[in-house]
Amino acid sequence: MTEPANASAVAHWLQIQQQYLEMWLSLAQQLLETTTPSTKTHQSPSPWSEVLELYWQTLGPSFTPEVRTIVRKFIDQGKNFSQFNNALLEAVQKTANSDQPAAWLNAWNANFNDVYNNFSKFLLEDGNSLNIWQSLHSNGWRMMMFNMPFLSSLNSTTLSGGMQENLEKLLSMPSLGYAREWQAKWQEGLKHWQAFQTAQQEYSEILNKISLRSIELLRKKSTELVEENETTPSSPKTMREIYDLWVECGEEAYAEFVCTEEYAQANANLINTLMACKLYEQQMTDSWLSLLNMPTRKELDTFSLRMQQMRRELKILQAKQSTNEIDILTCQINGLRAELETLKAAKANPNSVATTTTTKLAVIPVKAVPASKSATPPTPKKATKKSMMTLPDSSSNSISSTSATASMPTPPSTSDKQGK
Amino acid sequence: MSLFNLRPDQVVQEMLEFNQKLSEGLKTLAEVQEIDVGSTPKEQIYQEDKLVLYRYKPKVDKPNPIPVLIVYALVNRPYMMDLQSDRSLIKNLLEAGQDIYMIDWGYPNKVDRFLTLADYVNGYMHRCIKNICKRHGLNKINLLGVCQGGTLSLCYSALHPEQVKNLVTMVTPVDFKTPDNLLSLWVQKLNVDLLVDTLGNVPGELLNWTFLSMKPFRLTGQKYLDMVDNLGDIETAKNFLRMEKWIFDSPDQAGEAFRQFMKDFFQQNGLIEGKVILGEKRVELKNITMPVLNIYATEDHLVPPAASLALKKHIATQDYTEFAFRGGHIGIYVSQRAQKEIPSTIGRWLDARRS
Repeated sequence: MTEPANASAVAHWLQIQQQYLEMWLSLAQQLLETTTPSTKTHQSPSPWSEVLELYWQTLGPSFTPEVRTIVRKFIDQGKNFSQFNNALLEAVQKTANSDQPAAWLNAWNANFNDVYNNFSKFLLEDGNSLNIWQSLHSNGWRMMMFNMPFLSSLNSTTLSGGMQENLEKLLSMPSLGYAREWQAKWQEGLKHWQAFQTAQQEYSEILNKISLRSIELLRKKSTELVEENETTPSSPKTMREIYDLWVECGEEAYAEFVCTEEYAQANANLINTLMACKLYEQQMTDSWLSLLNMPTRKELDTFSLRMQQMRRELKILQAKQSTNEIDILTCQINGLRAELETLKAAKANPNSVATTTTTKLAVIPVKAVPASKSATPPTPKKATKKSMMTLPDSSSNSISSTSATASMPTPPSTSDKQGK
Repeated sequence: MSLFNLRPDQVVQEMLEFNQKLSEGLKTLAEVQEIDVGSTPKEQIYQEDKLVLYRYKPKVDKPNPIPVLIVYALVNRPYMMDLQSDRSLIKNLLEAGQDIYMIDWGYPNKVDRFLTLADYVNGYMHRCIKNICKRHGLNKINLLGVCQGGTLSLCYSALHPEQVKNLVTMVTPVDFKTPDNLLSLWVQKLNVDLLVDTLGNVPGELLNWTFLSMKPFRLTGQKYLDMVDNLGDIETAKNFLRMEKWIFDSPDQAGEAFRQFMKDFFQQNGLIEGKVILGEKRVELKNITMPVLNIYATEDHLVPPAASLALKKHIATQDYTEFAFRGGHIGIYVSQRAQKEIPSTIGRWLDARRS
C-alpha cells in the first residue's frame, strides 16, 4: 500500500521525531545500564512527546525540587506546542492534498474554512492538552478540592438522563424511622453534590463558549491579516507566530466573557457549591471521628481559636509590662534632669560652695507605676524601702554625677516636689 | 497573497530548531542547583511568631535619619523587593540614601487560622514600628506599603498617625470597586464565610490559580514558549527561575484575616466608606494627614490605576504626590525602568520631608 501524497510532510516530521525518540531510548538504556538492548523499534503516534517524557523520567530526579517543578512546565508546554503544530500540519495537509508549497498556499487561501474546521476540532477535543481549562483544573489545588471521599462516588453520570429524575425523587422523600437523621444527612449531601454538578456544567458551558469565540477570532484575525498583507507583509511566517496569534485570540475571547456578571456568577456558584460539598464532607468525617473518640476538625479549630485569644492577651500584657519599664526609665531620666538643673544653677553662680554628692540610680520600683500615669512618673525613692529592688550589679547600673550645692536657693528638683 | 506564508519544509525545520532549543534549555536548567533570591545583606532585628523584621545594611555613610519600614502584601513573599542584585528596589533605595527595614510575614499555618487583620495591623505592624522607633530614638518613621501591604499601611496610618512621618503607597488598592477591577468582580458573589469556614486557612495555590486565571493563555502556556528562546544563557535562565519561584511561592492566608479582607475591603469597599473596624477602632482615611506619595502602575491588571488613585479623595493630607509608573504590577518591582525610576523618586521625596 503506498503512502498517500498528502501525508508526506507530516510523515517527514514524524520521521525526525522518531529518530529523536530512538536516540533517547538508546541513551536511556545506556544510563540504566541495560545489558540487553531492545531489538524492537518503538513506534509512537507522538514521538516528540515521548522523547520529552523520557527525558523527564531519565533526568527529572537530578533536578532540585524547586527547579523540577518549573522544568515540568517547560516539558508540558513543549509537548503542547508540538501537539498544536501536528494538528495544524495535519489540517493543512488534509486540505492541500499535497506536500508542495504551492498547494499549501492554496490550501490556506482557497480552503481556509476546511483548514480551520479541522483545526478547531482538535482545539475543542476533551483530551487535548492545549485545552487551557483542563490544564488549569488539573492543578494541585483542584485535585485537593475534588478529593471528597463521601461524595466522589457519585460521578457526573449519576445525574444524567433518567437517573437525574430518580435522584430528584430520592431527595424529596421525607426521612423516616430510626435512621431518619442519617437519611436526612445523606440527602443533604446529595443536594450539595447535585448543586455542584449543575454549577460545574454551567461553568463548562461558558468555557466552551470562550473556546468557540477564540476560534472565531482566530479566523477573523487571520482574514484581516490577509487584507492587511496587501500593503504590509505581516501575516504569520512561522508556526510560532500562528500559536501566538491563537494565544492572542484566546485571551481576547476570555477577556470578553470573564468581565461579565454571567461569568462572575458562574464562577462564584462553582466555588460556593464546591465549598458546600467540602464542608459537608468535613462534617461527616467529624461525625465518624467523634464515634471513634478521635479529635475532630471542629475541636482543633476551637483549640486554635482559644490559643489565638491567649496569644493576644499575652501580647497585651507584655506591652503593658514594657510600658511599665518605660515609666521607670522616664522616672530616672526626670531625676537626672533635675540634678542637671541643679548643676547648671550652681555653675551659673561661681560663689557657691561646691560639694560632691553621688546619686545612685540603682534602685528601681517594682510594679509601682501604672501605665496610665506615665505622664507624671513617680519619684525614685530611697533604697531602704521594701518595695524597692536593687539591681544585681549596682556598680554597673549606677550613674554618678557631680552636683553643686549653690549658696543661692536652687530650683527644687522634681523629686523634691514630689517628695513634698 | 497568501494567508499564511508557510511551507511544509519550513515548518519541519522550525519544529526541529524549537526542539533543539528546548533540549539545550533543559540542559541549562539542569545546571541550576538552587534558586537564590535576596542578594542585599540584611540582619534580623526582631522576631515574633512567624514574623521577622529585617534591617538592610545601609549603603551610604549618612542615610536619612528617619528609617523606612517596607510592609509587603500577605499574599506573596517580600523578596520580590530584592529579587537579585540587578533587580532590587531595596538595593537601590539603600543607594538612594534610605535606611530600610522590611517585614517578612512568614507562612501562616493552622495555628494562625484565627489571626485577624487587627492582629496584623495593631499587633505585628505596631510592635515592629515601636521597635524601630526605639532603636532610632524616634517617635515616628516612614512607611512604605506595597500592594495589599499598602492597604494595611493605610489602615495603620489612619489608626496610629502619630507613628508615621511620611507614607508611601505602591500599587495599593484603595477603591476596591472600580469598574475595571476584575478580581473584585469575581469575588462579589463569593460566599466568603463558607469558603473560610470550609478551608480554614486559604491555600496559597487557590490564590495563585485565581491570579493565573486572569490571563490563562499567556501565563500558563505562552510564557514558557517565549522563554525557550532564551534558556541557552544560564543567567537569563536563573532570572526566569527566580521569578517563577516568587510567583508560585504563595503563603496560605490566615483564615480570619482573609475573611475580613475579602468582605470588608472587596465586597463592601469599606476602606473608602469608613466601614472597616480593626480591633475596636474604625479606620478613617481622613485621619491620614502626614505627607503621602502614591505610586501606581499604568498597566496594572491586578490593581487598576483607578483603584489606587482614589486615595487622593479620601485622605486629609495637605502634601499629596502621585507618581505614575509606565508598566504593570510585576514590572514595577523588577523591570529595568523601575530600578531607575522608583527608588530615586521615593528617595528624593522622603529626603525632602526629613524635618
